[in-house]
Amino acid sequence: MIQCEALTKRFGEFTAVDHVSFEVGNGKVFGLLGPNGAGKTTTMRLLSTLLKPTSGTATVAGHDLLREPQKVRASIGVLPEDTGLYDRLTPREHLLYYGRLHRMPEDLLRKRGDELLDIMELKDRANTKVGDFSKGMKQKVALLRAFIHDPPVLLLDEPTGGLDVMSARSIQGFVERFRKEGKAIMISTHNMTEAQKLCDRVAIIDHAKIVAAGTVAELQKRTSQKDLESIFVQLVTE
Amino acid sequence: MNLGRIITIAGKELKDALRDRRTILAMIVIPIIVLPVLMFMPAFLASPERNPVRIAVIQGDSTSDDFLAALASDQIHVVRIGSEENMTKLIQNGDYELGMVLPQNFSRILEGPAQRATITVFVDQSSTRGTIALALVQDAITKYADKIVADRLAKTGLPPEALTPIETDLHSVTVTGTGALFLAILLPLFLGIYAVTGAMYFVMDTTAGEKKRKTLEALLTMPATRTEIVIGKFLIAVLIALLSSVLAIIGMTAGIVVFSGAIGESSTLGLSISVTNLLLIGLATLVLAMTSASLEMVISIFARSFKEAQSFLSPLSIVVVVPAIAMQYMSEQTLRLFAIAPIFNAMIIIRDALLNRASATSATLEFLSAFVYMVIALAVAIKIFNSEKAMVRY
Repeated sequence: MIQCEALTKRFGEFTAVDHVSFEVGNGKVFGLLGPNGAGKTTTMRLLSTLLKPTSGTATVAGHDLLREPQKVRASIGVLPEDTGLYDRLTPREHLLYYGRLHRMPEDLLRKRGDELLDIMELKDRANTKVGDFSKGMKQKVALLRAFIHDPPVLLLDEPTGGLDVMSARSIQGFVERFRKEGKAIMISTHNMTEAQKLCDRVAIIDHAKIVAAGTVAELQKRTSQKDLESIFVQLVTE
Repeated sequence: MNLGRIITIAGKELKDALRDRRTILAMIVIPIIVLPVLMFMPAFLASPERNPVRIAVIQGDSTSDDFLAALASDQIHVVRIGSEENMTKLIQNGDYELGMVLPQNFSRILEGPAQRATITVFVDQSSTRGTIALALVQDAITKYADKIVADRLAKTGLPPEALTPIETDLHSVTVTGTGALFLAILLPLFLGIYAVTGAMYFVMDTTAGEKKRKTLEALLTMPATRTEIVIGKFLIAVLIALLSSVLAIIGMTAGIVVFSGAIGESSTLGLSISVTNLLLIGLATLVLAMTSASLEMVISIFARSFKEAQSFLSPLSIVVVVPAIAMQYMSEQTLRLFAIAPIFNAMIIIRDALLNRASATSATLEFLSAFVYMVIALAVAIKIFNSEKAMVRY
């Protein structure tokens, strides 16, 4: 579960995230939608403890962001905006490396690694260096890295950004699967169709502030628009 | 701090580095192949033992045959040419290393009691082989002239000692051989250079490079602390710097054995080092590796980009030469003042161990100072790693 309360981040005079509050329950997918520079990635970085909030706080899987950053990191699986994979390592080596950093027992780690590679249809390429992979395949490996330690909370920044339809569908299926397992999943995205398809609740963020939040149905009612893209455009131009 | 995580990070860094051709090039290929070849190949190729110098001679007449017979040797190949040849061009074209024009009546001039024969020599002194040829020829001429002088003195009834009324009797107090002196100059320099350059690419790649490729962001979302990450990376940087330095020593040794043997020098250089001194050199090499790796990590983590890290780190390979060169010109009293200066400390230990004059007190002081610098540098690196400013730069 994620609970954000008036989360704020300033870089000098510039406010990147301004009193952002939201909640993501277990087994729910929460979408953070906004234009470039709205504050989506900064919010993700705050929740993954890469940045410290200027004010406000958040708890992730019951751990306070400021007081227990290491426990927060142990409870989250993060897919950053860039995949951040090592070109000279294979998918299996990536999973083993990050699993060991989470101090997973070796036999469990290897078993889970094989399972995940199988689910993502990467078993045949498990020992190929990721530098030779397509963008979609790299995204899959990065997603597996986020899931390797079976975290209760997932933070996914643009999970299908720039991917072809097949790769995007495969990743969306994966997210669905883990929602059913009861994970609290937060997605930052530009992709309105994806948000409409995956998210139980969405928040529109613009100029560092959340301008609207709710289920897609609630936002449709509020704006009298049918699809999420029109809702988004209306809310950020209001 | 979790040791398991540090080992995990170090293991991954080592695996990644060993798959990187650029690190392999800097760590293995350059010290073990390029360095010895660059150091010893020119002397090997220029050596007259392997490749005798070619000397063109225009004789005034056959009276200089005796002199030419004395001149010719395994190292000097004499070729008689016609007087119509343009000697300057032959030398400039590289057909011969040296040219010589001998006057007419050469031996008859020398038979007289006080006459002097003039030999005209043509040589390109900007060429290494030319200067080698000149030294060999001058040596041969001096020997031949000494014989003539001895003959002339014999005719007057004077012994050869009449020309050298004072003799110098040199008592050398040097405790080590020339090989140790040679290495005392070269080894600190090369170990310093390889400690700095060996791990330089790895450090840049694992810090500024990770920022650039955005792999650091994923790593920082793991439960590992920044201290564990810095230490894991630092351990492999030290290992690579150390391996690079050790391979440089192997490369130098191989170079000395292969090339000096081929040019007729003793391949052992008359060197004998005690086990204690060898241990001291090993420890000092480790200290050099630790100092340079920690310094490089601070600079590279601080850099905003990979290119900035390159610009900051590249001058280090020149900077490290300064103490190695300065040591040769400083008096012992002045040098002791630098005993706790970074890089100087390790280089002084290496030099003193080679010259068999290392003392336990000064070595302890030098090692302690190096350890303090390393801890400070690592603390700064961890502080920068923890700094949000360093994070938001990428």
